[in-house]
Amino acid sequence: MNYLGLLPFFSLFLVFMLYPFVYGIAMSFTDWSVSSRGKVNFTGLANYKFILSGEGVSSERFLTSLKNLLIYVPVTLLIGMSIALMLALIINNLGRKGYGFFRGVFFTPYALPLFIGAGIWQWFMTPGTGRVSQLFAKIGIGVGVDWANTAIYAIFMVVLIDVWHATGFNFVILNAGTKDISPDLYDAAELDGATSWQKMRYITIPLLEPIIFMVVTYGFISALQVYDIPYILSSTTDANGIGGPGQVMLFPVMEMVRNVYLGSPSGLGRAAAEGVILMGIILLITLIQFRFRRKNV
Amino acid sequence: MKHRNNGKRMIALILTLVMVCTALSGCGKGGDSGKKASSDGGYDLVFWTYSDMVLNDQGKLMDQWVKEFVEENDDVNSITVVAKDDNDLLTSLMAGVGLPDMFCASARDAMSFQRAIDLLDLTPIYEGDKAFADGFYEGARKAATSDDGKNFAVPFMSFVPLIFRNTDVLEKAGIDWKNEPLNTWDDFYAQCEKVKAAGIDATHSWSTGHFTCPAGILACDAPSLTIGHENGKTTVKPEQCVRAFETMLTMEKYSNGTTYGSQAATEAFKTGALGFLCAGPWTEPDYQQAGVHYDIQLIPAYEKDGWTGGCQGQDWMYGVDSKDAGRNDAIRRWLKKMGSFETQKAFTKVIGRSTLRQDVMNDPEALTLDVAKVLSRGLNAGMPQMEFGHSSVFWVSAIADVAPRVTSGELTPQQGAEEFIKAVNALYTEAGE
Amino acid sequence: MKNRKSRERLLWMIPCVIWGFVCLFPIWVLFSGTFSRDSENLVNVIFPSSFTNGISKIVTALTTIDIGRATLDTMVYSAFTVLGILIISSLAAYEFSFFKFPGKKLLFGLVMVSMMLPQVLYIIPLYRMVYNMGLADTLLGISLPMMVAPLAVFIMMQFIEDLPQSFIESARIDGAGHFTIYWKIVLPLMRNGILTTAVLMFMRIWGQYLWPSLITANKIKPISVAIANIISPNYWVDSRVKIAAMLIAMLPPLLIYIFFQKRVIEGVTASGIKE
Repeated sequence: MNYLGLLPFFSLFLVFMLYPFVYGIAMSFTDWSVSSRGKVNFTGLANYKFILSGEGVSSERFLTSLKNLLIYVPVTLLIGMSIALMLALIINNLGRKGYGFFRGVFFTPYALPLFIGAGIWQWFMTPGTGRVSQLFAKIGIGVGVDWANTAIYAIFMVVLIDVWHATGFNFVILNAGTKDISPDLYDAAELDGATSWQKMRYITIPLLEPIIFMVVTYGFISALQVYDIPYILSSTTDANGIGGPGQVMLFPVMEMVRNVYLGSPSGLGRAAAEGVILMGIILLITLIQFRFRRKNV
Repeated sequence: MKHRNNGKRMIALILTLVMVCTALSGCGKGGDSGKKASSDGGYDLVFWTYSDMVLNDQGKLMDQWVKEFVEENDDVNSITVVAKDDNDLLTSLMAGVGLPDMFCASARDAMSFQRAIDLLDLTPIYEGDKAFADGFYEGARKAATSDDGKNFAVPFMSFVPLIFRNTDVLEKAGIDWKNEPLNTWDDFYAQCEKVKAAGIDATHSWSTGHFTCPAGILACDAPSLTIGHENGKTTVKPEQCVRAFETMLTMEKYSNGTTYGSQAATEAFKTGALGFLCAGPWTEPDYQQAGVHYDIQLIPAYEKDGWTGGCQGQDWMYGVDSKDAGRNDAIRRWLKKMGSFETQKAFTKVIGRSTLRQDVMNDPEALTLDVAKVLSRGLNAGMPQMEFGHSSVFWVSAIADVAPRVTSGELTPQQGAEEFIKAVNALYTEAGE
Repeated sequence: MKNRKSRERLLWMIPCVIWGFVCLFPIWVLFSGTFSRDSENLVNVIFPSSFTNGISKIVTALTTIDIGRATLDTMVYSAFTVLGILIISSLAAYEFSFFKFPGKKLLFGLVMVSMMLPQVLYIIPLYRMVYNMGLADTLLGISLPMMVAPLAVFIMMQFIEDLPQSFIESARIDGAGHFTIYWKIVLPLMRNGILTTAVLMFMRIWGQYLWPSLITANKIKPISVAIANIISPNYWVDSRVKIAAMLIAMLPPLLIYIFFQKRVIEGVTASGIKE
């Protein structure tokens, strides 16, 4: 009986997701490339060795992209999640009109097509004249720095845009979650003289935990696959330019895309291998999160 | 709650109806339709091209050519023009399904196209028609010919980057711009100094962010660069590149920090806050619309009447072998028409884009627009971005990583040149060439 | 009590206003940019300066990219896909949340893992398969692959978890069948979850570029492709027109969001009925 309920989802899943997925993984062990035309040869771990060896352009770029990821993911999640959670909690205390208004406002960055969203921040961060980079320079950060083309600063630029854009998404989920908590609990607390801060701390957050966990987990999965924003910021007509000069904002999925379009021998196989490696990393982190939760809840 | 459930049900019903209708109408037509001649004997061909070719003036021209072709050729019913950009094209080609009959795409991916699909052998349209064949620039034509002598593409569009000068800014700086073109780098430095002295930013960075400017500088040395590759390494030597890096270092003095192609640089130029802007010819309408007073120059040479700079990009047209002789013949006829003198002349005359036919680019009638005149000169110099059609390595792009390190002082020009060659070799190794 | 409430309200207002400003300022600047004269430096514009120019840009944007058709097409396939997602994901979430059955862990694991492989990789085999099914450039072709949304299952499961098992038990005792419980009890109680999922999934599908651009040609025109065609770096399109186009493209999802979010309701009372 249970399987019947799962049938619609899994039948589509099997056809449209599992098959291409397995195909992609299988291809990482072959010399799949643009020239393959359907005939591929099994090459075992050759692609993996090539990517992880540290020698050669592909490998250097891929390892750099992983390094960038190491900085990017924790920073963007820490900042983004904190803001989204804070907003979702606070907004409930604003009263009818304030609530309705701000709810719409917080979502707008997510509704704006990312191309122009990233574009406007690019203008804001222009070296010298950009409003936001000037603001930062006033408080001593990044004085005279060309954010988009400098190591570390470039990553923070991506964080900035990502937090601006994605907070709307996380906010919506978290806020909907707060709506699911029974008002009776708040009323009872009110009678006991609790302030809104206390209500938040002792009622809302604990009850919101499952949703917070889900948002954070998905946040990791999503941040590890970051692609759109840095691609838009650094895109040029040549594939080697992806990620900016010196690969300052190169991330794994972007490097995969470069390998797909480069046309080198085993190019697609290498891209597949990079994808599998990334997937392994995501899987590991997710498993750790689940383990951690089980121990502490 | 019941009210809401009913609402949901209505929506579900309507959408299911929509779905069923569209699915029924769509299902039949999807897949491999159009590959065989339709019942009244005519072929329906599909042509993929860049999105700008289906819009505005270019779109009108394209419609006209399609109309002419269908009228002149009885065995062709229709040509459907679809806008697809390079990456979409590549992905579809790699998937091996849904291929068009002919397409226009960058020459950069020519190797990938040759490997991924059966390109139609276009030699028949060159053979026996000397006027057609010799009208192309020799370099482009050679590049579009495979090692075993088959023509697999029709060279189409090209461009070199240009320097736009804001003449209002130049006047303020006391430069008599009508009589002082940018002939040499020394001229350029002198004019930048004057602009700076007048308190206005001279130009953007010529080394950070994008390969166009540094590579454009390198192109000035093209006659002395031994371009090519052997045994997985480039035949270009570091010594040949040092002067380019020195020039980049000098140019950085005049930079206002913005990068090539950035909106900030363009807007500064348009509002008279920047004197010199390096940009592609297609950006000209932007300045006209903003009411800027400007003139167009090429990237200067090192000596008077020397070799001017700029990397050439090229777009070619290709046909896909459909395995049907009649269809292939129709495809060839379309491509011949598109590559013909008349068509390409109209292109240059009306839109101002430069083509790869030298008989067009040297024909004064075609060069009605200023930009076309400048491009015509530029195409006789410069340097192709890569070995189109015979290599998949975009070797000049490696300069984008090295140039900023030279201008920041991290590397000397000599070291920069060596790093550059190393990076290029790494690209060849990666590509297995 | 009332004083304290208003004081607190004011306090909480401050961070909201700050973030609200951060959210809206860029969009305001873009809006001003469109409504500015061509001779102004677009990058530095803060206030609109030319109403007429802005209107002409908007008109150009509307006509160049055939926005009416693109919006309609995108609306149709997005709505269709979201409907599909809601049905199959809520069912799957229902099964995963309340019941134990052999293979549950495996199937759930599979769902999670599928979120971890970047789309870029499996898009080529997927495209080939859908094409060979004859579904290229059709509604089914574009929608069915997108209906598989592990994220939706994930979200809905979190909203279901709050529901006590006892409801199911008592309904079962009353003789309700497996799917009746789903339809009559669980689904209504998951209302917030469903609305949230619907809005978010709609947004994601609206903004999807890679898959729609591959699978469509002439019959269906996704809005993301229409926009991508005018922001190509290889030829020039007036920046103000580009911005106008994107501001217009932003409106439908935003309106949908506002419309649906009005319906997200306040909590559950002790009796288990949502008011």
